[in-house]
Amino acid sequence: MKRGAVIASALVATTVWAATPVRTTGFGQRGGALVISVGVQDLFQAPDLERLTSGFATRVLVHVALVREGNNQAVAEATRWSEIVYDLWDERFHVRRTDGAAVPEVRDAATAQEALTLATALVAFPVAPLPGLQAGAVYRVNVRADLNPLSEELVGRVRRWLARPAGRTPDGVFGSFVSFFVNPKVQDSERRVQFVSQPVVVR
Amino acid sequence: MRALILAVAVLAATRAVAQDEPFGPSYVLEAIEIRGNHKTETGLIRRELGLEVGEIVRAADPRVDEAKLRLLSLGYFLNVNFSLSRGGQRGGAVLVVEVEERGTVIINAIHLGTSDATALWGGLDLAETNFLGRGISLGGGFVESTRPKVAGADPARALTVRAAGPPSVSGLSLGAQLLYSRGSEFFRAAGPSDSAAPGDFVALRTRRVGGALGVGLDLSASTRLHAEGRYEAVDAKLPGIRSRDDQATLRPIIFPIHEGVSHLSSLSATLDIDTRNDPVLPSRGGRALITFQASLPVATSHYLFGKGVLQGSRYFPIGKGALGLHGFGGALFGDAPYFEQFFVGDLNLLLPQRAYGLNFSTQPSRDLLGTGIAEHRYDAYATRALVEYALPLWRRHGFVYRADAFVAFGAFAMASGDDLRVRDRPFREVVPVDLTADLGLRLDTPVGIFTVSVANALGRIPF
Repeated sequence: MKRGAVIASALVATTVWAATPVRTTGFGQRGGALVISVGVQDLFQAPDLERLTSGFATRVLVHVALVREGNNQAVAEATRWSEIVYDLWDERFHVRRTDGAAVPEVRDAATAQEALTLATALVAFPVAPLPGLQAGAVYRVNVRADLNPLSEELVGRVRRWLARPAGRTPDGVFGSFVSFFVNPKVQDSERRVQFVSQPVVVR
Repeated sequence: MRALILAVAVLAATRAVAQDEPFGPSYVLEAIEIRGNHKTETGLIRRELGLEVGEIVRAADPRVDEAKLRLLSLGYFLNVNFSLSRGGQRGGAVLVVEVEERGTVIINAIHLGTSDATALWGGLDLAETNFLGRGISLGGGFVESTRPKVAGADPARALTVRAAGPPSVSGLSLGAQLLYSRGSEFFRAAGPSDSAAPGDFVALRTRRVGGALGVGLDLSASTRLHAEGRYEAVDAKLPGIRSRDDQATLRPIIFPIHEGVSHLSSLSATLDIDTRNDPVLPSRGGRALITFQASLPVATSHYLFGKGVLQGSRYFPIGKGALGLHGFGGALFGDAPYFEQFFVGDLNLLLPQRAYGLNFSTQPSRDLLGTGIAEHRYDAYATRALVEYALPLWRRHGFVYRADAFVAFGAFAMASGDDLRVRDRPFREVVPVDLTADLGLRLDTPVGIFTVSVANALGRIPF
């Protein structure tokens, strides 16, 4: 049986995806790949929109994982990395988007809202090649979007500095000489949006 | 796993993009404005920035991210924001750095407890990590106790003052510490080994005055070397009763200290390899601390000893929490004063810990395995293995940033040099083992890390 000819969303009784909200996601096929359409515009709040004109880059990382129902292991993954910058003198936004290993695409935007949409809307975003999916199987996509993410190594380094900043000795001979406190602003990213799609059956 | 995916995704995306042309406009910095620093010196912030007027900065310049993290790493700010505004000429820009300062007074320790021997002890250890806004860390602490019920014992009192220089871009740091302490250590003179009755003990009174100078160097992002030189004068007054009455026999009590005034000087080096993803509530990575201390009979020191300590921790994410494996091993060779030896209260979570080297309790270890460990208080050899599971309860809520529930279970062993040399007893008696455990909450707040646990409570009250 030839697989991947038809993709249909289905309401399927499945296991509960605890604590992760469900967001309606568009599914389709293009160029032999399963594609999705969904937005993560809620990653930005009002202060973040104001900061888009700061002159420095704002970054968005969207990670999509296709997961077969009943199994938490991802069968395919895809990422989009977007950077938004504002030209102080031309008064225009530039958005650079990189999907996986593809060549980055640079687009211009006249308004902050337009730039935000370019960075946060996934339109016909390829997730997995259809021939690799099993006919009749139920899948979902897990989507996670991070605003200005930091690498784990960098976050760990900063937190260690906070626990033992330069200029202080480690545990001294007379007892603890370590002042512990952790800055709440140092997280993996400034904000995160995470959700799963409704289930979809590959036919 | 999620963080790993994030890290890999960031790395992959960054590498892909790095191969292309630099992105976004670039500007010549015409000026740098720093706002919001009511206390912290502007010069200190500018030094950490690493950017100067006249330099070209790009919109997606990695130096800007690094500068922001360096400023946050100081621990003086709750938030740091960078922005650019138009300069006087086309292509020029003014860099605006806005900081939101935070409280920099930190509680390092709260000393509070009661035991069979000491009705009450209390004290506090504080540090101002940004003294006068210059990045100097200035701290101090004290502990004071009522007069212990052990015959001849003095009330305990200890004071300490510490200072450390401002952060250095080269990773070199200097620190100094002064200590004064006066108190008593308790040695069993009668009664069974599991008795904590103060009447069964005699008091060795000790007064210590000294200080330490240290220098630290960051060898890499995760490796740090610290060296310390230390000197102190010790005045020890031994009790009149110097033998232990076991009813059947009378044997001398060994007081590991030089009677009268003696001097102690030592050099120590510590290698600290820290790859934990979080210093307080870690779920991945590990930490290893290797310390060697040597006291030589030079510079008027009366003590000749060498001491090595190896501590290691490794963390693994399991389920929603993290499993921590902790190991400790220490060995001491030579003639060391008792306060340099391994103390049972520092190994057993269920016993009161020392404060500034002062002990307030006569409580022996519980000896849950019946190996005779209740006889051991200070020894030359010690080891401990601990397994801990921590489960995150909440994050970023109000005064308590984060909280973890944790449960820990482990075992420790102690032995003296004589025990190991003279093998006339079964091994389990030569190297007695006891169990230890804890259960509680670990809270991360703006003024310090607080542990509310069963062992913490048991260590502060007699039971």
